[in-house]
Amino acid sequence: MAQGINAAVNAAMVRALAEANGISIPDDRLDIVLKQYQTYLELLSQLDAFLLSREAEPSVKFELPTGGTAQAPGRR
Amino acid sequence: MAERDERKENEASRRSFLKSSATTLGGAFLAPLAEPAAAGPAGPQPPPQSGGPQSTGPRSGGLDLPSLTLASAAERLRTRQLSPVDLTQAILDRIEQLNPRVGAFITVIAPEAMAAARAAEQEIRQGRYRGPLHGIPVGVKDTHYTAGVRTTAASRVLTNFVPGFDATVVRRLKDAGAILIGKTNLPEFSFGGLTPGTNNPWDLSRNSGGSSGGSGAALAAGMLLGATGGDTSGSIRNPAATCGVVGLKPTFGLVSRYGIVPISWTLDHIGPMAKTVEDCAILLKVLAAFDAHDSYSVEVPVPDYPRLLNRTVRGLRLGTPPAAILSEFHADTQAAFREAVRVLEGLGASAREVTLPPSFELAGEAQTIVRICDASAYHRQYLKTQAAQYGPDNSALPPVSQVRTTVEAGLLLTAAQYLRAQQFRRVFVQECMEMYSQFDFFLSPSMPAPAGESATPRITFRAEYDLNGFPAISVPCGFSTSPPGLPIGLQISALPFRDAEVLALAHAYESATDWHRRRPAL
Repeated sequence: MAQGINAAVNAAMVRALAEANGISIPDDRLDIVLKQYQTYLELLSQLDAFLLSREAEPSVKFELPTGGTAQAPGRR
Repeated sequence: MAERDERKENEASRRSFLKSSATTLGGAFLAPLAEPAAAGPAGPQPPPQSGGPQSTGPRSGGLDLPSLTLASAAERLRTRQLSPVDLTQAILDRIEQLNPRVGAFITVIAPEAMAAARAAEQEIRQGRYRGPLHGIPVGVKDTHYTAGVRTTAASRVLTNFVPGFDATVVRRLKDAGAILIGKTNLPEFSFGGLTPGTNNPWDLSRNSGGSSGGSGAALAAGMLLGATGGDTSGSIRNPAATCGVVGLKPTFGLVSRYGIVPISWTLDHIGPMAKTVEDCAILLKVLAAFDAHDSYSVEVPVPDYPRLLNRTVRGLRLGTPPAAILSEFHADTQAAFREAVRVLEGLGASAREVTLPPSFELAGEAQTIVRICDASAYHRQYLKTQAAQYGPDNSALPPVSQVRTTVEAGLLLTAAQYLRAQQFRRVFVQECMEMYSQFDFFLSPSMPAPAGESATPRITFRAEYDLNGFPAISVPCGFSTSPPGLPIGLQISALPFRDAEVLALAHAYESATDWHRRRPAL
């Protein structure tokens, strides 16, 4: 799976994605950034192997449930 | 019958341990504490290779001032047996003597520190004692904004950045009367588990760990009495363990991140580092507070952490990692950890291996995606205008920036990929909550191996605690034998907002051993 994803990305794609994000990556850095990007894609591929229920919601605002000795975190 | 009575007694003791901070947190005045934890040298004895007490520091009335703990110095300051000016000067002298070899500081503000010490001295003389940090020399990681003082995050990108205000934690330390000595070293923008340029006081040929390595090394070398660090993937606990001091990563949201150069807004924790658990408790009491400037700050009562330290641990239930995971740690780390568990069992706690939930194996991956995406969003401003400036702000180091590569690649990830990791995170937190319902504390080694040694366990018990936000402390639990004399740390973690209990168990362990009394021979 990860190899399939990584085969589909290349330096030209890195350049295009970076420009879409408003940054310019010099030619001499494209390969090293590509390699790092592929590492992240491999991590994401491993995460994909962990099945989540379809109702699973992301925790964007990170508020801990208080199982400890304090009151629940207040909402603001 | 006797066995049943003993079980009842243990359970009553356990409930007492876990309840006493709830009383305080609920707003009632502190209930009478249980008897102090067992004291005395019940733990393993230090290896002969470990260094003896410091003896090279400036002395005052027979005291080796830089070797004092924060608590002992505070008591002497309060009772006017010690002057803040003398203490601060002794620390500055120590820094002048040792920092060229240790490299713990990026910036030392001697004139400002001496002025603050003189002001503290005057206040204390006039009877306006503010509390146990009054007159105490402290350092903060050079990610913390300091008004009028350069804040570089060890990067050339911020080499000329002079904040116009103090980070909330810096302001709180100053308001408590602490003397800011300087800014401690870190890897560029806190990225990494090593601190280039900071040598480990126990073996100057090895690194201090990171990313709060300057704080850890400064404490171990007697160049500070208290410090702060930042922990996104273990960066308080790593240098604490590696340098033989104590470091607490508090519950996420308990200590403000406002005015701190971030790695990740949803993973960064700021916390105390010190020579002892008691000193960490004193610092945490000042650092912990709701801060409206920090969007993840939580509004919870802050207990009197130092007063909650002394409790019996009899009857407490401790969880430990599966043997298969533990076997992947360095042999000396395994041995020290097992001995630490035996010490706590000797104090009356019970320990058993627990099965980790399936999400534990992938928490590191999810933490990486969240961390990198958050960091990339922050760094986009610099990548657009100052990309060529990335690199360590230290001409003695190679001008290579892994940070730039990391965040450039991170910017290519999509929002959907980021949210996938955040979905996982929520499940992970829930599974951790369920796991922790089986015991009161979970113990693990703080680091896979001592400084500069190699071990690569599948689960390291570091970044996982930044992803779930649970409190976790590293306390010294021994020294390596091969190679000899390198510190090893014990990590104690618990459910969210059980920071007081984590400190209390760490204090009980510390009181039963003498690892924290060892100092490197510099």
